[in-house]
Amino acid sequence: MTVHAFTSFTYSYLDRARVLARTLRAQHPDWVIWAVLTDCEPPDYQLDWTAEPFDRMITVVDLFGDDTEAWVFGHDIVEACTAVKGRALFRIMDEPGCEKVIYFDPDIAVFNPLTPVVDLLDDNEIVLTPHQVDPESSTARRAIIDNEIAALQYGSFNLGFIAVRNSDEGRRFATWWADRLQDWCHDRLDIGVFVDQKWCNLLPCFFDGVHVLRDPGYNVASWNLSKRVLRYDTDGNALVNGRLLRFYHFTKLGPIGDAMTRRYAADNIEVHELWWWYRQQVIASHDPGVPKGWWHYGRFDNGDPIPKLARETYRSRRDLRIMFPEPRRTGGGSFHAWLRQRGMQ
Amino acid sequence: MPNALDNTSGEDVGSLHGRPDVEAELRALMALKPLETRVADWRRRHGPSTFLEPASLMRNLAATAGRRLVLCLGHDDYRSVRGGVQFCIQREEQAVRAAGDNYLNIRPAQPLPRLAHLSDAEDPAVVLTLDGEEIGICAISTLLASIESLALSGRRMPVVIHHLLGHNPEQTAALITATRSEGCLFWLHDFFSICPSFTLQRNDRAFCDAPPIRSNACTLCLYGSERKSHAARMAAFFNSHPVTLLSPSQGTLDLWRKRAGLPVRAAHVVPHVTLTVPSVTAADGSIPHTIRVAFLGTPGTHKGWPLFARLAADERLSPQYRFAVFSSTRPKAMIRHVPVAVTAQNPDAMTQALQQNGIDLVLIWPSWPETFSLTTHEAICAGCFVVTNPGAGHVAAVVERTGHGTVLQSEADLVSFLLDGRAERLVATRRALAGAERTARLSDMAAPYLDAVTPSAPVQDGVAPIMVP
Repeated sequence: MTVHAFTSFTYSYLDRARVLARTLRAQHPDWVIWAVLTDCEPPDYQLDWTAEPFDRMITVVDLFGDDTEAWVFGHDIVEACTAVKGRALFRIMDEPGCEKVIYFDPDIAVFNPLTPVVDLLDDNEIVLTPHQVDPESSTARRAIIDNEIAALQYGSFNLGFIAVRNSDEGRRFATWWADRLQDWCHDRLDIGVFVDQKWCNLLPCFFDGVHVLRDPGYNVASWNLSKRVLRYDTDGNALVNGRLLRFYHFTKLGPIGDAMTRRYAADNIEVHELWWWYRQQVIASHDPGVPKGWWHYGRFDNGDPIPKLARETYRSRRDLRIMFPEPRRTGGGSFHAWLRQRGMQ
Repeated sequence: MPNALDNTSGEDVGSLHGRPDVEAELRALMALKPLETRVADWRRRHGPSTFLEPASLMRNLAATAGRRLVLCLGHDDYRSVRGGVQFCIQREEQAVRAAGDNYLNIRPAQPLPRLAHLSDAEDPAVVLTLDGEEIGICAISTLLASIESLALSGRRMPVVIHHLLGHNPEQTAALITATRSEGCLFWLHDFFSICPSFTLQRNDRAFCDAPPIRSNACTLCLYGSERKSHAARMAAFFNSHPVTLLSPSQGTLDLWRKRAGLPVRAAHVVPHVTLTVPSVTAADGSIPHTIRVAFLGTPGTHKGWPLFARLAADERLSPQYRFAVFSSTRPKAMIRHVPVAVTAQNPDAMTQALQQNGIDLVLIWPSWPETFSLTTHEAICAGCFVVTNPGAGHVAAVVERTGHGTVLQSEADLVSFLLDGRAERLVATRRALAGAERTARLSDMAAPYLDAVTPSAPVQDGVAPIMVP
């Protein structure tokens, strides 16, 4: 029985992805770990993937072929990295011997075995973790707004994690998800869509065998810290509400993450210790060859950043997609020139 | 000496509104550095003032006329650094020399916050202090060669290890081999033989009780990575020669046996100080108007300094309580400071200072189980009562055995204790004992046990060897 795990990132998140892969490898040396890269290498940079803690690597070009440039152009970095998950899941399911597939966001670190999830997939098709598993107190207005109302807006389940069985039903889900993410993986809260995540609110409606994992040791993050306490027992096990800490989601490493952690971890100093550890791990995993904020698909070929409005305009107009099949190109007759003529660049 | 506590200036050093204790912890956490960053900070360029040539070293050592040349391994300059371990080395040097032996202290020329790695330096330099006088610096290989020569000439050289911080345990084992001694004496001043975090503080903030090396707590601690090789090297050292443990308290030995997993030939409990104190009697019923509370020694987080500083700033306590710090260096806080330097030549300095300032209570609130706590003994010998917590190790044991103080369950209980009348009653009891005789007898440290590791000498006092798997 082979379990495959994958994560989706760009080179600017390579440091985090390395931490994820190393911590996952420490717990499950027998799993096959995939890197799904929605990026190209920076100039004068070459990564030796054989030295990386990943077993396999596929890129967005492997998944979308000749359509890659046009398709990616219609997505910002978050949209693009989440949109590839559907096709990547389907691709990995085609691997001989692959029985179960688990996705992790690159800013996750794993601390204890995930064997219970693997076991759950013996009797279930899909395993999801909700953003919260315990309601806030009715007097905790700020937490209700920050956490529960946010979950209503952004999705009940956090898609930094999803586990899928490679079964008929699991593949039916993968097909559907890949299909939706091709055209609808956008940050469009105005129409109730939030990248790949909000779509998964529909999973219990469309698919059988959807298991909602409410163990507080999974997917611990700032959005559920208000109801989770991290402690160490006398054997040094990290416990969340008395359950083993399986993995922590270190979302928004930096001032925003710090602020939310301070707000909801409060005097749970062990959480702050964990963040200190993670920060050091990311620093140690940093590759100085990757320029800060690098994303190949983030700029036109002359280096100009691509505005969000340009992406939204391009993806919403079929005529533009036909007229400009290479939207990142600049110069005469380019989409870049078209935008400049209209004051949009 | 004027009582430094009688004229408080009322400086505002902060308040307990909100959670300044949590804020302080977070600040400390943010300032935490990875261990190898600290190592880099500790490294310094040094031009040895006197770099001993082999012949010069040999002349120095051969000129010593004592029956034995005791080799003592420490981690810093015990003559100038004020602390418990340093005082113990000073005291031991006194006792050894009084018995007619010579005493050679060996410390790393490059102090480090961990064991030295071979990659740090293949032939590291050590500073040598012979009978209290620094004679210079040499490479460890030079020292080994001299020791080998002396051993060949029949000189007996028992080895006493006070601390291995900054040392290379493989070279320490080679030193013992060179002396031809029957192993070494090894002090448990702290738990460095178990973890580079010698007070067993996870991330310098919380007592961890040395969990398994592969546990989450260890893996996620800044010392966790180093602990793996540290433990392996300590195991190799303890297996290289018979080790006789010297533990300052039973509780320390018990914890060490539970967590270390290292073999020893024998283990002895050797308290640094033996106290004789009056039995606690009933107080006379008077309520003290002013209560004087002290913190002793270098302010350190693991010693409870942040708590003391918060109490000193608590406006609820200011009408009745007077706070002061008794230490050799002035702390960075607006709290009365009484300079005190305890040395082997002046071992009663702290006790005298506490008496002269009329201290009632000494707050000793460590976050780890203290192996001995000289300050506790100094405080009780001065007639003070000690306030501590149950996790304080030998501090709590002494307080419970003598009744000269109280063990409180938590910081919240401590604040309540100071406000609800219990402190007043305890201080009244303390003052009722004023004038009663108290004595403190310093031990001779390792001196009585040297024969156990000197060639052709029997094991001292017939204690059965304790083999720890």
